[in-house]
Amino acid sequence: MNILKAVIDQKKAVKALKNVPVYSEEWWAKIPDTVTFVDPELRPIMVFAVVFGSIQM
Amino acid sequence: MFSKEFNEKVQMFKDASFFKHTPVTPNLSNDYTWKVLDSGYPVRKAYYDSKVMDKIVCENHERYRFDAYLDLGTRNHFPQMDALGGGSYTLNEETGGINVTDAPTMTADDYDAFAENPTKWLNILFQRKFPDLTTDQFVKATMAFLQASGFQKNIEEKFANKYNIPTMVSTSTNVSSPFETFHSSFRGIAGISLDMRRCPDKLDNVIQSYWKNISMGSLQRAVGNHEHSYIADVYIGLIAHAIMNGKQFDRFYWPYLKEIFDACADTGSMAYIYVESTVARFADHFADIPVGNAMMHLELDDIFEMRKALPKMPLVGGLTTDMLGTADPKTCVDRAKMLIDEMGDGFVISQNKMLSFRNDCRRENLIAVNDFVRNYVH
Repeated sequence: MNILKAVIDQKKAVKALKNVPVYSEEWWAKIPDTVTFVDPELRPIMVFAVVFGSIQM
Repeated sequence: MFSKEFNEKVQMFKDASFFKHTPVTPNLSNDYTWKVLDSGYPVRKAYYDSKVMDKIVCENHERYRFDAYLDLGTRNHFPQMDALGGGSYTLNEETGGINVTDAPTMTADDYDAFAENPTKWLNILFQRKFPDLTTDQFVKATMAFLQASGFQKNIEEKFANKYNIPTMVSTSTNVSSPFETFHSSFRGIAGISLDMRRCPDKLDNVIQSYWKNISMGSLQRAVGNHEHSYIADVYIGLIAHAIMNGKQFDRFYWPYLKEIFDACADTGSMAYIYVESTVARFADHFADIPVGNAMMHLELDDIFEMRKALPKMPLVGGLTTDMLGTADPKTCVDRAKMLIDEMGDGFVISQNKMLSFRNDCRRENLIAVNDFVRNYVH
């Protein structure tokens, strides 16, 4: 990993973090119900798995 | 459930983990993206059409016939990331290379709040990464996630039932030291390098919280389940240690690895330690892990020196991409023979680095080495 590129990208990324809109609680509450193809009991777990994996991708 | 031949393959690796003699040295594939480039199929098709990836990994096995695999085309984030609107990975279709951007989603000012409620903060970081996400995009990403999980299940079963070949370890059992996640995903390399110096107490606190609230559950699930078809029970990736000095490693990194190894010893589990860069300067930390509870895959360390430093640790690797990508078949076979003769028991032969780029390997070299290893009885 080029450390200089990493530093430059980080400065841009940190700038972009300000004023990022946050999803409302209502938005999050809808998500498990919209994944209707997943067993109801598994929906919260599925949501967490997608969120957790996606942050790292 | 599985064939005698499959069980014998698994046992061969387990015997190596206990330094029991095996007539033939186990041969593990450390090929991730090179197999796509070697296949001749268009790169984009490989990552976006699971039927094509299925053909690639099967033809790869029929050509090279390893004894086990670290990857069967399952490390593929593109469909899920595309559904979400893009991520940190970009695919260069011309070279087949996959580039990763260091794009942190948190600052050091977030550490205390994260430590208070890690689960809530995973959602916040997700929102920061995808600020304009729609519910439709999230649903599509979930479908992509399920399709990827389905592909993994199917291809691993196919290899077990059709080829009698096991997968080394499940990606869902990745329980690395929490520092890795902050290093590669949340803070980035540059950010966390500064944090170790500027706010060590905050960093220490958030890592402890992450371990307690998120990692421990994953560890307990991994070591508590031996009803699976994999060779190892836990996957540990060592990448971030490369930027640490001894004191930093002892404070921010090692305590969590020790808990993983203690849990493996208590439950009779095996950890597969995948090392990037070098680990020789921390070798003494791994010296007391009981035989059978871990296996270490080396990248840049001299495998013979590591054998002297860690006589009780089964080692994996030895074939360099420098050689496999540039030398002739005889040189590669001579190296394989030397490795097998010198390393003896407690050794699995493999490539040192993940085969990723076109020049990491030549087809004729891999065929020659694998034919030799498969038939060299010692």
